Amino acid sequence: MRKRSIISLSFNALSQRKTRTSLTTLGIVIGIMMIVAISSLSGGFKTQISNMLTSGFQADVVTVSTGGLFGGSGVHFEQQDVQNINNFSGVTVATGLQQSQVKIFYGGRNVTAILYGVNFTEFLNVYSSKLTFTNGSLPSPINNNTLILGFSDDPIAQVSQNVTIQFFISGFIGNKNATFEVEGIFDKVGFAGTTIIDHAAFIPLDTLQEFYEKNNVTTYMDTILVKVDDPNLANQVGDEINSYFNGHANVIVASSFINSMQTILNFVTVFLLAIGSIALLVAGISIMNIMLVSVMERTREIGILKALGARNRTVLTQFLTESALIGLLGSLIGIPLGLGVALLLGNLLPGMFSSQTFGGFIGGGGGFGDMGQGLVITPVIDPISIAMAIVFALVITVVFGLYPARKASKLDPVTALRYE
Amino acid sequence: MMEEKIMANKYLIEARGLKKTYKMGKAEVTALSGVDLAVVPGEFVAIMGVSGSGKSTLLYVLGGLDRPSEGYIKIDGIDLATLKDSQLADIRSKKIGFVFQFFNLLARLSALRNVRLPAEIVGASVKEAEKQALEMLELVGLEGRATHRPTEMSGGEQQRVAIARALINKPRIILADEPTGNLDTKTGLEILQLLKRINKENGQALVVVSHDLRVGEMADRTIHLQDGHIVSEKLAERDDCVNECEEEGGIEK
Repeated sequence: MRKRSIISLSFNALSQRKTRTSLTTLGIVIGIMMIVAISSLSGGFKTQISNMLTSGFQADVVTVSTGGLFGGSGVHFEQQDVQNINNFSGVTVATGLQQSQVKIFYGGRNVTAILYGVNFTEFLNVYSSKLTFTNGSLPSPINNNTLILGFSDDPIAQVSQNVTIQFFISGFIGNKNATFEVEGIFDKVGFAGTTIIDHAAFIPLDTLQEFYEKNNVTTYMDTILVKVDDPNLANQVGDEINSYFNGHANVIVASSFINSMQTILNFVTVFLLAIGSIALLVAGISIMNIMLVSVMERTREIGILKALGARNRTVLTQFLTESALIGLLGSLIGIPLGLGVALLLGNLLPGMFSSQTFGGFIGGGGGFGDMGQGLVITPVIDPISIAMAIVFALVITVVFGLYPARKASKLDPVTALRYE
Repeated sequence: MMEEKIMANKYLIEARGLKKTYKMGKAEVTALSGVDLAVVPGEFVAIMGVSGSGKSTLLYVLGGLDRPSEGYIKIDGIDLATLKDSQLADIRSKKIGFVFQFFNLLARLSALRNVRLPAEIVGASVKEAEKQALEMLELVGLEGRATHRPTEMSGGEQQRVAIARALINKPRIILADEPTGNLDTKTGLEILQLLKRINKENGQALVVVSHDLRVGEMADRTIHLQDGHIVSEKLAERDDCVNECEEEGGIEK
């Protein structure tokens, strides 16, 4: 029997039972829709995240911190450490940072912010390609009371205004104030490595440390930013720094950090795809069920076909074609639906990651929150994964259709003809 | 080559010592208990008998739908026992046309598509099959009903469609199982006349299983089956057959 005849007969059989066929197809549609939506969304999400990370992290900057998100590791950095690292081969510049939380007062308003004590010249050298000023500039020479503000939609103060900063000093009842002059405001950048720039405040490191010393509090730098001559040296320098601190410091090399983030994303994608595949598998089982019922109902038809001289193989092919048509139909409907869902969620999901969830987690000013709001995940339409989805649907339907089809083909013609 | 082979076998159907037993649960039921039968090309054979006499089983076994428990059947000299299932299917599609009591049309297909089916099974293109099917429908007088579905047709019309379907691959043998069993007297007669006409005009051998006495009256030879074996065999006393049929009909014992 020719292909056209078999397909036409199968199509006829399916269209005869419209409700049943559409319900069976629906299972495949949902499975394919999930798989296509997940794969194109996660593709888009991965691109977005890695763009965000590569723009946030500079490949030629190694970040060394005393601890991760979950507390310190017992190590502290001193100026001598920064000097030593500066002398490592391949290091362009190393600079220390000290982080603190403060309240900034101006004109009856106040805002809680993260304050960094930095060596401005070195700091701006490290992030030379990232940090630019919206207003003002770095004064030369730098004054003790120089204050640079990170970007904010509504800055607490403008350039050349004097603000009061209130420091919280642990183990000390009450707060200490100091006055600073706003000399410049950075452009919107979000964050640089692990350093939050937007909404943060920057003062000279010496000023910060002197202030604490004056109050009899010993403090140390908590971060060293190391710029390397070539991004390819980042890993090597990272390793050297790691052994310099005997493994007690937290060394973040941008490329490996991005890689591990992508590994996590890949893992999540595989996990979600597995769920989608289970949906498809369930659809496959329902196809098998429906086809078994169909074979039973059409026993007589099978008997007739055999009496007319159809070979077992022809009967088998016909029933397999019916299953495969369901798979094909299901994926043809499921793919555009999946892409639609991906587009929809790509627009909706980032909105759900609002400042409250993301920024609040970081605390203080929150640099990530603003990035979340403007973010739209553009689904990646990958022809290969779409082709894979179709193949997968066909494989599932054919595999699950095989048993009923074999059952049909093995029917004894006389018994089948007598079947009521 | 083919012609020689056919000439060498003067019987179109040759069956010897056919036995068929079924298992019904634990009991063994004998449907055929030693049947010898031969049919020559162009012959019209009626197989009569009460229900349960084994006549339908005999027809299915002769047509290669079922295999005998013992004995052999040769169709055109080919021993069916030597054939695989797929080859047996090919014999059914090319050499045999079946007509059933309940028509056995596919309800979801139009008359034309029903008739097309056997042609498509042997590999004809849809176009060829359609052309042949239209000819066959014309032959049975249903050219105007091609697009109708079986449910929109009378019993007589459905049986005509079934006959057209049986004829499309121009088989040398037509096997009919109670073709009038589900029709009223008048329609039944029309169907028998149609079968007889095709038999005479096309020279296709016709074996009809029935308990309709008119079938016996029309046939060249009538065989009575009882409890799975032949109890009597009678040649028709008719001018058109007397000379030839007496010589060729029946099996040499």
